[in-house]
Amino acid sequence: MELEIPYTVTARPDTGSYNAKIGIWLFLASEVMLFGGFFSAYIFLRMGATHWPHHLLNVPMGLFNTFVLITSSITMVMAWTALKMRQFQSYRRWLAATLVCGVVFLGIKSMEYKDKFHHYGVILNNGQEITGHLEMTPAEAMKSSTLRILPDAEDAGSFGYQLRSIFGRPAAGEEKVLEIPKSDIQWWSNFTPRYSTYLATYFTMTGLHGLHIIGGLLVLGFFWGPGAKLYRTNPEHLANRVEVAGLFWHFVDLVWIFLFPTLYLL
Amino acid sequence: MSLRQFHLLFVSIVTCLFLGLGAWSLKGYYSHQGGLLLWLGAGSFAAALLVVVYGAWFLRKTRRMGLVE
Repeated sequence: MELEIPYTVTARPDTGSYNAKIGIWLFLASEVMLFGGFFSAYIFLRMGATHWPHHLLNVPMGLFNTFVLITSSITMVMAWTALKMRQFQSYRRWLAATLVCGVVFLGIKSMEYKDKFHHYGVILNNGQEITGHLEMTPAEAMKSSTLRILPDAEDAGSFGYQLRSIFGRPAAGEEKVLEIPKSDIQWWSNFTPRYSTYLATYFTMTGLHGLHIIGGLLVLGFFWGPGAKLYRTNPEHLANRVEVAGLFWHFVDLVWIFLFPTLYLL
Repeated sequence: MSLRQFHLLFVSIVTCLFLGLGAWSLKGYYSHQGGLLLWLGAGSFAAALLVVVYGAWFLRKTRRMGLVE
């Protein structure tokens, strides 16, 4: 005897939706609470901070990633509408475009992370902070009694400088390499979560978001490949599955729409 | 809420994002943070308009397809 799961295609009379849609909305409600908690924590940490850095993140890169994710939402919904119209090849093309957008987003995000890991900050004994790039390897810096650091240019936080820095570090202009004895240094580190509360929240929130993107890509990849076989036997069931995946993908994109201004602009 | 409705909500929020980005850019421009911000501001407002046009097109397309719930 073969068991059939009910309400995968038609709506359940008491809820008015098929079961998977109810399930994804319950899941997304828990996700709203998860990210809501992080956003609340961000607000309270920022309100309580005596110093909050500005223009530390590369706005042009973040903006480009925002465009990529917006485009991926459009391609996602186009894949679903193509499936509803029973245009299978078109569905696969649009879904492939969504997958490419997701991969591009992660690639750019990893470039941003790499850039932060190569950026250093030094807190001197008098409390002054110097940020810039090491002119020695991290291993040499650990052993040496002095730190050789090229400080950031004065306009390093400007949009134009950040745009130029995507294509390589812009000329330092008047900046000179500083040699700072470690006896004058209170603390130094690269821009990892331990450096500041701001970077800790940045890495936590964007890292969690990135994990959601990876999860979404795995699901969409399944529906593009082996999961697409369902089209032959029950295309409406596949359309419903893709709709549910699309709801998740839109939610993840929506989180980024809030993360971008919160972390990059404000 | 269907994917169609969620997409329309998404489009509305993206429109707000571009309007906000335009305001942020112009604020930066008027506080002398570089001429590029003026272009970014103009581009953001244009993008907001484009997104609205896209939203209207999507609404019409899905109505024609009978995807209205």
